[in-house]
Amino acid sequence: MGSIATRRLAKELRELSLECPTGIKILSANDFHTWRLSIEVMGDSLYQGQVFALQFIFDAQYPIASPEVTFVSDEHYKAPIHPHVYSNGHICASILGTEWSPILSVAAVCVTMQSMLASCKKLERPPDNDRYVRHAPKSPKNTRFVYDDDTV
Amino acid sequence: MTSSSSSSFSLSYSYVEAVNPNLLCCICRTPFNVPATTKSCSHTFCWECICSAIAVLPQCPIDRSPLSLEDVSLASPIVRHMVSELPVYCTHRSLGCDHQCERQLLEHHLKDECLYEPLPCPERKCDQFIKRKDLKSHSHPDDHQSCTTCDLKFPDASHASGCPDAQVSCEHQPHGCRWTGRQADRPDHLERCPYEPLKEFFLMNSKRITALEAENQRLKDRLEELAFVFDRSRHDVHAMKYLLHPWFKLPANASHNPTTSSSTSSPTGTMPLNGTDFFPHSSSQPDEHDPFPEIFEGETQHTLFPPHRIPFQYPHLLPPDHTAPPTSISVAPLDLDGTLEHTFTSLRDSVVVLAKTVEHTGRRHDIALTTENVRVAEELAGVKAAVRGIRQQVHRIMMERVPGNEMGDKRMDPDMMVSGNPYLRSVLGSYPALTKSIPTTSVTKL
Ligand SMILES: [Zn+2]
Ligand SMILES: [Zn+2]
Ligand SMILES: [Zn+2]
Ligand SMILES: [Zn+2]
Ligand SMILES: [Zn+2]
Ligand SMILES: [Zn+2]
Repeated sequence: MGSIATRRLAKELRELSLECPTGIKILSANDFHTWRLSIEVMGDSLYQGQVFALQFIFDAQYPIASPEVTFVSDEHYKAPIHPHVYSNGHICASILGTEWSPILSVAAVCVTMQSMLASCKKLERPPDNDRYVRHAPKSPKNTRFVYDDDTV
Repeated sequence: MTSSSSSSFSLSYSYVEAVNPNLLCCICRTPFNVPATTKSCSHTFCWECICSAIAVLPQCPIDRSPLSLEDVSLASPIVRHMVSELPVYCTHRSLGCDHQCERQLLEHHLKDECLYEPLPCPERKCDQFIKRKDLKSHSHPDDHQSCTTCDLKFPDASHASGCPDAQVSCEHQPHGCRWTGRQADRPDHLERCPYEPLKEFFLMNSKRITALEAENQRLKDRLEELAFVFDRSRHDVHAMKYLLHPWFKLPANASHNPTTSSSTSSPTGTMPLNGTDFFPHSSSQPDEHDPFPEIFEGETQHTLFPPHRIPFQYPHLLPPDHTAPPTSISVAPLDLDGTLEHTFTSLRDSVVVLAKTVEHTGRRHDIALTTENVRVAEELAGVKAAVRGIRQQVHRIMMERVPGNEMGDKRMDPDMMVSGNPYLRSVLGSYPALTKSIPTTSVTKL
């Protein structure tokens, strides 16, 4: 693990434990490799009352390189039904790919995901969900998404 | 961070007070370490942070404006002083050092004073790092061995990791460093060695070279494979050329209209491959450039491809006079200038015409045969009637000659009579079939 990544994640973890953005809670952050945070959409939305979990996987290049972010899809949590979220939890969001910037952080990604869900108008999977899930690489970072929607 | 390196880049500071957020690098979220400012957009980051960010994506992380390393320079002295003077705890606070100082002085503290700074074995004899305060008590169980290089009977602490006088070369010698000297001087040299900062680069490069060599080998193998396939294909193409012989043409020439190629046109329409006449029409000599002379040598070539202008005329070119005697058929020469398909088509046409002619001739023969048969049958019927008349007469004569035998004579077999009569036997012997009754159906059948 690069020292920048470790120092930066330690700092972020310290800040998150002191104060998390509304609707976001740390589920697990026992190392500087994998974190899980729960996110809940505040206010009026199609996902009222639902809690989702985001999984972050960091590599030594963080924050220069984006973390691998997916919605957890297991027996406890389900990936939200959203036009940019595949049923396996992969997220098609430009800030996790080409639009990533080192100044972004775990909290920033969580808040972006919250607003992405909050602005959702229709509960539906991406049109190519089945095909994508069948052939999806393990890490969404190995997928070249086409970001057709600038709102995320 | 228990770093013994003097490089400030890898030092992690623990700040005594909360730091002004304006002095935080937004990439690593800590106070600037070697602050660097972008010329184009005046954003400040740690030097290391912005360099690694640019290496991945050449744009400012904050405003995404294009950015290259040339656009980054050291931040203004004010910023540099502000971060340098931030109070920090000693890195070894967790080990017990209570020292606090300005950040810029921490390096000096660690290097010269901090009792908790781990130092390498002063005798270079073991790989341990010993806290400065424990150095005096550090010893090795086998401190008494003679050195072969400097003839020291009882080498002291200086021989911990080999004789300090031993001649060694720089560890970057493979990359070009010419330094050689005492082992003891090597650490000093490494600090100044121009190759030391490139260590990572060398490592990366040698990895890449290995990968490229492997790839090159794979490509070579593939190329060899393809060359083999190509050779085989070329061989096949040549064989095909020989098989097609005069009909082998470049596609452009092969597409000309088959109906216009007359049977006597000169071979101007053919364009042999390679610009040379690969299949000379006039010469029967094997081509000098022929890569497979042993396969199609002169004689074989003659039998396979006889001289091309045999007088040959297609039957359909004859006037449709079927009464003409067939012996005088002259055939048009084989058209070698058209496409193979065209040749096949005309050959097929000829076969069709021939088939028609054969059929016609056959029918004529049938008619002639039938007529002939009818005539023969009529003749036979006449002969049969005559024979019957003769037989009846003979019978009557016999009856008249043998009056006492009237009862048995009705049952007498005519055949027995004939065979019994030497005259009749000699007459009818030349017509053996006539001794039996002639089946009338065999006549009508014709
Ligand atoms: Zn900028
Ligand atoms: Zn930084
Ligand atoms: Zn200290
Ligand atoms: Zn030692
Ligand atoms: Zn020695
Ligand atoms: Zn050197």
